[in-house]
Amino acid sequence: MSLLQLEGTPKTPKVEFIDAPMSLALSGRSIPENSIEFYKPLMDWVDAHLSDSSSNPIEVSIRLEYFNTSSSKCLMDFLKRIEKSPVNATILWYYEEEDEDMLEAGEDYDAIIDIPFRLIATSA
Amino acid sequence: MSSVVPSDSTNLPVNQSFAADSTAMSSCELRWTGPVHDSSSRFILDWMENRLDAVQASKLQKKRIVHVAIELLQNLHHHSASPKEKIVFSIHETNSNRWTVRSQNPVKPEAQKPLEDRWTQLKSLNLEALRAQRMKQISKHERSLHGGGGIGLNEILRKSDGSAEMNFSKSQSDVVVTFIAELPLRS
Repeated sequence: MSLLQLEGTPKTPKVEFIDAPMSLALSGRSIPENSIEFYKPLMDWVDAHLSDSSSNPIEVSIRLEYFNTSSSKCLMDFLKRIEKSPVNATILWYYEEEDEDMLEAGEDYDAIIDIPFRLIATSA
Repeated sequence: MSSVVPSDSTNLPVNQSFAADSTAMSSCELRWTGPVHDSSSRFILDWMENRLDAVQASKLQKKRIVHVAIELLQNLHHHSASPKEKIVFSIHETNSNRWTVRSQNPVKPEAQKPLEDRWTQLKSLNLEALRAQRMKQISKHERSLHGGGGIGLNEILRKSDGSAEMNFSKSQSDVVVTFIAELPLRS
């Protein structure tokens, strides 16, 4: 089994990428000073593990409270890598029900990325 | 030297040339002067979140205010020219239940024109057009050194519902840029 697991910090999200069974989850805040540096190992992991077209469908869970503009570019790169991979993925985009900004952000990624998105309102 | 002024220790008018509501008096909630690093921005954001809870800001507005502060602080951290001692980040509460988030930093003189042009272009757009432009920018491959690709100004305008201003001034030999965003505490 291959695992990429990072605890969340006040500026970086909790990361849980597992390859058996495959699941990818990001949660918390993504406001690092250097997003490219933070996201590099996540991109590498995706490149290394999402190349098998025979793998089962996967769910990618994104539950972010805040993300800065540099993270928004990195999230786009992350989602594009999943889009280009042969894996059949669905994005679960969680947002707090009052948070129309995070809903809009999910809608925007959904409009750009050709992967099924489920926009899921949460109560807290 | 950096300093933080507690909310109840001073009453200062917001610089009237920048204030969205120049007639309103405001109390200084926080004032930071000097270089902004990772630890200082974390401290300021923690303070803001606690204070916004204490003044019972609505959840959405709290997130928008913090979001604007994140972009301004990261601008101060990465893009301020020297002398960094001239950096100022402050928060004022107006008597109309709004927070004014203000940042000020020296910039290289040659940065003024491109920044002014970019800001003027963004200010001419409505919120839907700003959203469309942001989508276009994040889907592009180009990015800035720290990854943003110039989306920060757009985000500041969107989160403040267009109530943000940018101005340049001269301080001795330095060119100083000031951003002011005014956001309501409650939706």
